[in-house]
Amino acid sequence: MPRLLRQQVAGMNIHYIYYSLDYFLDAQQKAGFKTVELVGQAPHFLMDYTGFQDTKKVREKAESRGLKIGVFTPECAAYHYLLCSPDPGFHKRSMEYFKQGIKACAGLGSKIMLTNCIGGTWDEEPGRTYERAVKSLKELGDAAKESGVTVAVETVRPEESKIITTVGGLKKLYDDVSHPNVKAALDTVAMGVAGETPRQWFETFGKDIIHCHFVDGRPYGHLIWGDGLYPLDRYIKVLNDYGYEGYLSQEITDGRYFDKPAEADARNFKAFEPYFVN
Amino acid sequence: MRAISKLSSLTLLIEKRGLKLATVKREQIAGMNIHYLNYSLDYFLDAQQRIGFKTIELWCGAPHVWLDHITYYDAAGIKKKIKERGLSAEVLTPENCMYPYQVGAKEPEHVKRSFSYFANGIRLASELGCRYMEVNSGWGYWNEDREEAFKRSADMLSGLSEVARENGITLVMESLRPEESQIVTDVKSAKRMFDIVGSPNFKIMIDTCAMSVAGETFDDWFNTFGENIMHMHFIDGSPYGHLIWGDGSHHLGKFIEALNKYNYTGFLGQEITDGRYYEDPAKHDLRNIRNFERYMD
Repeated sequence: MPRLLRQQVAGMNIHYIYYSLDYFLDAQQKAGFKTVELVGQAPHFLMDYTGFQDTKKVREKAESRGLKIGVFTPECAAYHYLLCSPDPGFHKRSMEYFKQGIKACAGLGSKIMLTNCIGGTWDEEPGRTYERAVKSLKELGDAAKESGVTVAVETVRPEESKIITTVGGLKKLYDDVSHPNVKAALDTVAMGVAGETPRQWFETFGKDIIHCHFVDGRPYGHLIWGDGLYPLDRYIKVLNDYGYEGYLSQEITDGRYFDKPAEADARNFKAFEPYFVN
Repeated sequence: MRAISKLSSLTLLIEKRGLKLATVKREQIAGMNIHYLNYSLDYFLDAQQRIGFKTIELWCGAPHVWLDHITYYDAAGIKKKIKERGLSAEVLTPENCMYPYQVGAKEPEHVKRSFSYFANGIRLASELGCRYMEVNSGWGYWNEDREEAFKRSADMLSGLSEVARENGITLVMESLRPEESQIVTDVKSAKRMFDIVGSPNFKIMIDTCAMSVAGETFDDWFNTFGENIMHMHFIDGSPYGHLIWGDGSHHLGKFIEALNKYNYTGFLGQEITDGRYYEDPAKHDLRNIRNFERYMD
């Protein structure tokens, strides 16, 4: 029987954009979550390239509800902060933003900050975007080391970027960056869209997968478990086979959940209940 | 034979009744850059020039224009690029659905940042020589009293109208779909906001998607606002979607007829947002303008 620890499954706040931080945290506690991955997005956590809001208060709010902020993710796909932006000004401010994100991450008590390689324009030669990704991640790796944080890099769908959309692409990047504070994150939607399986990912990266966005998909969509077509039990078994003990974040982004995110989260958490050993 | 006689009798009818053919001017069609988000600003502007646009509505989003609550970048450089291609930026649209700012913000720090962001947008619009800046009401929280959110939105829009006055810019407010907001989502709530803000620098624009989703018509909007309608996002839809003309279910000719009926000669922003166009936006823009050209003299 595939098994998980309750605290491995982490709730996320993306689909709570029409609700406050307090509402989100209350809903997580009520659904049964012990861990959250906080996304630095309005109105829940305000940050920019010059600083971020008081992390102590946010951390206290989470902890008072029995929640640990396991991972911090500065919004890195929808805002103007994009790691691989070719415009020197856009890129410089994005780098400053992610460095602030690393500090915010440490302040929130998390050891992992997630990002990706979005932002290269399609009228630029992809090789140049790739070079910028390698250079940028090395720089973030150094900043992360200072703060005791590790940067986890996920792949994305080919609609979002010309680079780092496959397990092979990420492996090459990982080798080229070669920084102890830059590791891999498995996103099950990007994985599915690329025609890949969790087993391929663990065969490629082993223990260097330090984080997962572990959601249902068809394979598109970032869905509540049961709304997609992925085999939850088989996927958890792969995690067990490779001894993965990291977080499984519920990165729910589909607009259908924005109206009643708490209901969706309660249903989602329940899907994991049969696998919990604690 | 029969077809010809039918056609000539139709022409006669048009002449007799003084009916005019649905007509739009090229300068009215304002190309937008949202669906060019995978491409550089230069790529977008080159495409607009090549395709035959004269006017653009400039969306401030990555990777084209950097606008935030602290500052904005390179108005002079952007202005030069637009002018060099024989284009004119008449409307500025700060990204105001996805970025971390909204007119209906609640927490003091979020209100402060959002106000500064839109005020910077007004300053950038002025530097670029635009006439209008697009705004919406924001959305508020789903679990709060609608009136509270409405009041905050009215306060911010009043303050921004003052900044607009100082900078010679007119704000044009669009309505949103009910999935996006609980503040201004139809002609009735737009009228209420218009009356409360009550500034000469605060006017109204129609978004054909929000209008159609609300089950409203041009008649509803023009009968309520008349000449205070100063701008439009004029796109196809079914009714959802911000689509290239031809991809939705509206009739372009009938829509243009409605504009003619109310003597609307303002701009028609092509706010194309559907992901299906992101791979090759220029291809779709060309298709779009070809459809408008059927109604140009």
